[in-house]
Amino acid sequence: MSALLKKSWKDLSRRKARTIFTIITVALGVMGIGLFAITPLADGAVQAELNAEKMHNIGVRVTDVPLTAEQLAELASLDNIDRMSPQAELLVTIEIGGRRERALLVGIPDYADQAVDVVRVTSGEVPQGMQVVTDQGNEANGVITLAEGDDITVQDPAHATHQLLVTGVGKNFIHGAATRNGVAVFYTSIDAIEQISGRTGFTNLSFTVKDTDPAAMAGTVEVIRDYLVANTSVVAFDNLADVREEGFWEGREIFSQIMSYMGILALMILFVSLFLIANTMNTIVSEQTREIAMMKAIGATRATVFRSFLTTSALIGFIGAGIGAGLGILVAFLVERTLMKQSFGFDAPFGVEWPTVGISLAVGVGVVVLASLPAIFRTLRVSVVDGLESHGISADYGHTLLDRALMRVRGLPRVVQMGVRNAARRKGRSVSTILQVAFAVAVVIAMLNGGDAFVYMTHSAYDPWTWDLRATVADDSSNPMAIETAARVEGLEGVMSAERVYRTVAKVNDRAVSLSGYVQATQALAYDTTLLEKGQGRWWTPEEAAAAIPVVVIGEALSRFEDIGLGDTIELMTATGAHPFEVIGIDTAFPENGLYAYAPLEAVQAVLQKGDAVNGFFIRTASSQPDTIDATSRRVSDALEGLGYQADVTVKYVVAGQAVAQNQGLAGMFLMMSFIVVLIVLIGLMSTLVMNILDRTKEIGMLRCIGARSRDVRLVFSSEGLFLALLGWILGLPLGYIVNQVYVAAMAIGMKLTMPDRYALVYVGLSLVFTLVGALIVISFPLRRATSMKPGDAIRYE
Amino acid sequence: MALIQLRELRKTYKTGKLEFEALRGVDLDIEEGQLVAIVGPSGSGKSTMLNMITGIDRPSGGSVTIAGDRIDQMKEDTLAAWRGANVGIVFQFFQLFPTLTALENVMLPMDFLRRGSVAERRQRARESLELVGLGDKVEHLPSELSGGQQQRVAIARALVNQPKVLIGDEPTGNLDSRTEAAMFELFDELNKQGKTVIYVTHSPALAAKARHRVEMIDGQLVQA
Repeated sequence: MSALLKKSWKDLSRRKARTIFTIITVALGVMGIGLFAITPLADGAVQAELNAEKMHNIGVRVTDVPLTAEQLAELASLDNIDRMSPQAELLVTIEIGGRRERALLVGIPDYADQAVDVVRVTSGEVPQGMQVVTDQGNEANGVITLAEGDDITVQDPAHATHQLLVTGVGKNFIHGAATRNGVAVFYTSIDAIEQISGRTGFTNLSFTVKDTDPAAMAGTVEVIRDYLVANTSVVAFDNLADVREEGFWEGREIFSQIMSYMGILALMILFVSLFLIANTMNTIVSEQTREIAMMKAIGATRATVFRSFLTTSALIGFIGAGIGAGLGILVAFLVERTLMKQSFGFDAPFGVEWPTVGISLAVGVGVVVLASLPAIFRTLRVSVVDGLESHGISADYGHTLLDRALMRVRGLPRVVQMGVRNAARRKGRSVSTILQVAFAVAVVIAMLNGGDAFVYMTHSAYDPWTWDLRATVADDSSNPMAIETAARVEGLEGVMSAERVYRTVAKVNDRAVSLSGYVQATQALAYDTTLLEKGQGRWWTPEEAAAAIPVVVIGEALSRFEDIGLGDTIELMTATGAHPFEVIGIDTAFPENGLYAYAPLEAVQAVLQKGDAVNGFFIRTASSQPDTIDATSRRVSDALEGLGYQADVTVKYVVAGQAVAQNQGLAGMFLMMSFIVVLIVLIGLMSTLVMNILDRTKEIGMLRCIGARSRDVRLVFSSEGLFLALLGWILGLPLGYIVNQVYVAAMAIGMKLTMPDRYALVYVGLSLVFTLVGALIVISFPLRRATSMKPGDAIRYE
Repeated sequence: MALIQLRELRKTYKTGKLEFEALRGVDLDIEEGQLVAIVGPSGSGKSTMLNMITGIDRPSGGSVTIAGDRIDQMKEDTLAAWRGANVGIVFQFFQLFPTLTALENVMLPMDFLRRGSVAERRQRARESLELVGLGDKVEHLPSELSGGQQQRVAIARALVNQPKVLIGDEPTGNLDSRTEAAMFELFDELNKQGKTVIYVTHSPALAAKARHRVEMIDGQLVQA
């Protein structure tokens, strides 16, 4: 090892605490880059699951088609088909917690011989006859928790009940996805499906193909259709065939978008750590002014000095990036595993995304060297004479306006004044510390407000809805739901009122919006605070309703996205074509992410040519007790089905609770990331104080010489630390507003989420408390060093 | 009893595996009102002995008694307060606090002892600065003063709590010969007013002016 390399290495070990802090900071910064590995890791884990389940390339849905063994074999040997498997699905209802919820039964002909879309039994016994295994997503997503040996009672479409024994737990990526929407999923035998439904045959035919080229797969779909039409009762598929591109899985896009935002936060963390690294290098250079001068005095060229310090920073970079990359691997795996477990219910295996590790190392070293360059260039300017003559406490204060301004701060104890003025001595260091604190305050304020916005969004989505149940029936022109049905529903026990509604999906400038036809005197929507109090227009009049005038109240998000103002006329594209509606109100309530349009029921019925038919009811129950609401939902469901309607009853408190939980989880994740920023900044603040204390060791000795007690020394440095933290907090307030705006904009662009931009005063106060308490805690460590110094050692300190 | 009594004073510095004996059993008495110069070559233990007298360093053995107080047995904070009240120290490199004006630098030892009201402290600091001839520089920062002026501020600061002992560790080491002479005149004047003055110096001229000389070599007294 050359003497120069040895010096670079030893420079790091001279101030061990500071070196460790800097390395930790670099490591945390680099660790953040590891988060970029989550998406590819998750993708790999899901692909592995899909491969294990032999996920279909083509899935077709048919209505109860009986297929013989020969026909199945023929289907499996069609052109381009690699393997095929049939399954039979049956939608039933199941009682969960007193409510009647939808449940999906999937019948598998032979669990030991599944070629495609394999259902894996992970514990317990393979179901036979009237037995089921419960999908692991049922418990993971809070739908229903069952143990081996439990019974479930399901009701078939003809309202007959059937009891099934739970023999274990199973999983399947495709079917299990339904549990995330609150549908209970069970795997059973074909016999059970036939016994419960009273029908025979398959509903799902799944194929893997040899050539996955989209054109080839489209051709294969036709071949399958032709075979089925020619050889079975099938005349057409029930739905469009599910043709999956190679590598596609549901949720992949939204998952990678969420991870992108995590990535932005990770870059912020790296950015913050830059300040600290620059500070450290500056201090190393400052401390070694005499040594640099001495090196030059004995013949070192500027290039030699440059190399020496570059090596020091590169060493910090290598060590920090190495540790950070390791931590990144671990954190990425833990986050990915948690998300996979929560989202898809399986334990992702440990994996390393090597390209991300490589990038982490390169960026880590590069960033450290880059941040060090200004300090290193400063070494080149150190003159031999000035460097060698640097002794004692430097008397270089008072030359700038800021110095003078701080001297005018009166009314504080002398030691506090010293602390405040000291903050202006190393201006570069203080500015970067203030910026770090400001940035952390900004990120935390933005994230807290963002989290609030999520919760507010959820409340905004559900609070203005004053209904308890929403019954929706499938549109059936042979059996339109007319006014009399409302009276029938209203007559049910537990129902206080049932209000007619027609809900459909329309498009405004290609943007899908929910279009609801409300009765004029609606009791289902509290628009008085979200529309009328905000002064953004009006509700329609009884006259407009009676005359079916096409007027509309739209959500604020829709108004902003499409630049629609009050009095504008918008084209609502519906199943019957485009219809002009005049915008008479802009509602700030947040259902459907603000992408909705409310119009008079009569106008909606008119444009959709529905006469006086509706497709649903908003129901207010007599009691707000969950049990009573659940019981009422069951009665409504039974009554509508008794009238021949296929009804879906939404329970508001259940969907609202699920939405709140989902949003809180997401907000929590972002908040966790912001705390890493805070952690780095606290380390940064501590590091600044450590460096200031090292810089001023002689001063501490001198203070002790003239009678300063420990508390006096403590006051000098804690005032300085708190002053810097306070300035950072002040700067962080407007910065927080800007970061929040960027966050809201990013959510709007990337995730089509129109978040309200909130800036709650309570967080301003809270962030002040956090800043001061955090600062006090972290500066207490370096203060211990300052007060424990012996005056003699401090005075001799070089 | 002598104002300052050093008995069997020893100090050993340990650096890694190396041990250096800076003081090897020093016995010294300094009476109240003396003007003492401590001389000797570099590394002879002059500054170390001074540090023992001021209590800014602890002995490895022996005792330091000043005005009847065993300062080597005091706790750090008690010692700091004792030092503020009883000893004024002047260093070679002035060691003024750069963010404080001359007046504030001089007020600081009184602030630490919480002596009198703020107005009284200000008045006494002014008087102290006037005593050293800097009555017109009270609002100046150290960066706006010459080396000699900074050293005078340091002396004013050392005197402001009216300590029994004024101690200088090469107080003129960073000054030109004219300023050095002026500085000694100040020390001499203070001594004539009854203050005990002790200083370490490498300057033969300054050493010759002292009424008592203590010479040290290799951590031991040669002449006292």
